This record gives sequence, C-alpha cells and structure tokens, in this order.
Amino acid sequence: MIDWLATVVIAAALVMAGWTVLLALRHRRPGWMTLGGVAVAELAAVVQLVVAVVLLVVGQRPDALAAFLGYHVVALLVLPAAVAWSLAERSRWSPGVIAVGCLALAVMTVRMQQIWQTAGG
Amino acid sequence: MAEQRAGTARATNTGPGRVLVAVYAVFAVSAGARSGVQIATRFADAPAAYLLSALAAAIYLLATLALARSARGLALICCTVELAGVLAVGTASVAVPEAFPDATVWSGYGIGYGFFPLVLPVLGLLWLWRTRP
Repeated sequence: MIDWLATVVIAAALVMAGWTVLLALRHRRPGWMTLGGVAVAELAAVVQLVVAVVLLVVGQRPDALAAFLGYHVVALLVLPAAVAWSLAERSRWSPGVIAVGCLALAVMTVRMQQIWQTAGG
Repeated sequence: MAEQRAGTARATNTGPGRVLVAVYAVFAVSAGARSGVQIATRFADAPAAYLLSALAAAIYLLATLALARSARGLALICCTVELAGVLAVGTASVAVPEAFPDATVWSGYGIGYGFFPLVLPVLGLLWLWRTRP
C-alpha cells in the first residue's frame, strides 16, 4: 500500500465526514457539492484498490491477505451504500448517514494500512 | 413484521433512526467480515472465540434488518441479546482472561471495536423507547 494514497483517502473521508456533520447540525440536506465530495473520496478508494492489486500481483503482500482484500471490497461499497440509504429519505438526518459511511471508510483505511505493514515478505 | 404505522407502532427507520441503522450496518458488516476471515483462515486457534464473534455478527445483522424494516419486536430482542452478551462476555473476559485465547467482538466490553458493542444496543433500546407506540 502506498502511504500517501491512503492518506489522501483518509483525508478525503474525514473532510467529507466533517462537512456532512456540519450540514446535519445546520439542518441542511446533502446537495450536489456533498455528492461530488463523496465521489472524490470514492474515486480515491478505487484508485487505492487498483494500486493494491498491482502491488499484490508484483509480489508484495500482507500476512493477512484475506482480511486485507475483505477490507478493500467493503471500503468500496460503504460510500455508495451510505449515499443510497441517505437519499432514500431526505431529511435533516440524511447528511448524518453519509458521515457514518465516511468515518467507516477512514477507519477501514487505517486498518488496511496496519494490516499491510505486517507484511513479512 | 412490516411497517406498521399510524397509532399501532412507530417506524424505527426514519429520522435519527436512519443514522442508527447506518451505524448498525457498518458494524454488522465489519464484525461479520472479520469473524468470517478468522473462521476461514485460522479457526483452530480459538474456535469458541471465533464462533462467538460470528454469532454476535449475525445478531448485529439481524438487528440492522429489524431496525431498517421497523420490525420492533425483533429489534428489541436483538438489542437486548447484544447488551446481555457484551455485559456477560465482557465481564467473563476480564474475570477469566485465559478462557479467551483470542479476542471476540464482546471481549473487554467491546474495547477492540471502540466500545461500540456496548454503546450500540443501548442506543438501539433508547431509540425503540423513544419511538414506542
């Protein structure tokens, strides 16, 4: 895993989590700007998965390979699922749902980094 | 089991309930995936602990679906079982640590998961109380 790429994913997820919490506190609903920001975080997660697969093919791999791949798959699904659940009922709570997804992505990316660093070679 | 509204029972999948369902879903998937990997790759290390984690994950999944579909009775059972489980296993893991060769979701009152296993059922029960018929 490339550290700065993981940092980008974590930063994007945390910024969007903060932004959506702010929206929720101000009783605002998620708009196009929010969806765009979430899309950027999702794109970063996709790029990270592609890079991870390339590194795995090249030969670097963590000890807990199954867990690592599991985290990657779930990490890709969490934001689309959160957005779908959020937009299904648009209320002052909608941004809160997206915030949960963003925080989950950030935590999962940190966990992936930890797993990757146990690589014994 | 489906949505019963207007007078009989209030929906649990609306308003703040949607945030609760989202947290529950994240938790069900992460606990489930983790115990799935543990059972698939090193089940022999700590079979009881991994089966307990899998059981806990299944209950979280059931709770997620129950809250998302406003199945209040099922949600009440799931949250109660979760709370009892985290308190019982948490206490047991602190009192007899040698009985737990590897951590479960509920070990140390859910310390490995940021105490979410302890907080979630309480939030679930509070939410069921707030939306009681």
